[in-house]
Amino acid sequence: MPLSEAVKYVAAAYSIIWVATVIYMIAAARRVTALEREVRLLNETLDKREGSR
Amino acid sequence: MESSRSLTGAPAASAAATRASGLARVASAPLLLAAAGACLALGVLLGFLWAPTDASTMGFSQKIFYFHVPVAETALLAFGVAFVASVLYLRTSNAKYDRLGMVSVRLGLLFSVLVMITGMIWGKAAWGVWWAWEPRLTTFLVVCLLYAGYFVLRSSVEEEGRRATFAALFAIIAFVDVPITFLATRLMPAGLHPVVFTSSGAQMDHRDLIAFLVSMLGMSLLFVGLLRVELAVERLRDELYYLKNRLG
Repeated sequence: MPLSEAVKYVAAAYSIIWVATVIYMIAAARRVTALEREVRLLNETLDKREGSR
Repeated sequence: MESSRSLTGAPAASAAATRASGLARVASAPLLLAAAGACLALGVLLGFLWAPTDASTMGFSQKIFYFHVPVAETALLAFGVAFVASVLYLRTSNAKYDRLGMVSVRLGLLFSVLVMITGMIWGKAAWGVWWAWEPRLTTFLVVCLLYAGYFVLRSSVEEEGRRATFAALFAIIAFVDVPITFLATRLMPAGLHPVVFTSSGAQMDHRDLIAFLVSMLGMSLLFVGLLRVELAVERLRDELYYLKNRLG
């Protein structure tokens, strides 16, 4: 296979791995942030409820 | 549905500790992921700029090796972790092992999909075909389908204790295919995949080997970093479930 052709396949393989990894990490970071926010809100709600008793 | 917190037997007061532990796991993840990124970038540089270009029929497409094989080995490592976690779950019934098993299978499946895609690209470049029913490819496809079935099983069982037990049993049985996949090229040498690592050592230039090992280290660190993030996510989900129950 000529080099110019092989480069396309190599670039495609590496790009897929990098892009998939970056997307996965961004999605995971967003999930952590969203869950932390929700936990914090619920803790605050719980604290208020227990404080009002 | 029963809370996983009741599976662990963790007292209600441990919610804050659970969260702190989960955050600590996330906090350490960026370091691991940065180290992984550095190793992977170094592996690519070594592979492209230092290691020789393959003189056989593969030519430049052999460069896919430095990522494709580490991703494959890491996928099998992830399934190995899931196997160990599943055995530990069955012995202890501790939900943390169920979480570890589930997260490992999830990451293993992610890496497996990447192996299949990059393998098809490499196959097309090196052999002229996207797919061939040869031992390594076929056994790896079976691995992917088996572990995809793991999540089908998890989603079909409602009660958490039974779900964790069934999933652990499934992960142990599915792991049987992992050594078969790993040894496929040795057990059935008629396939298209070459045997690179033999009893007499690595059949490659030492520069290829170093670039591969650096990439392998990077991919393993990436797996551990992602594992920590995913475990933190699961712990936060548990805490959320617990807090919602408390609020009613």
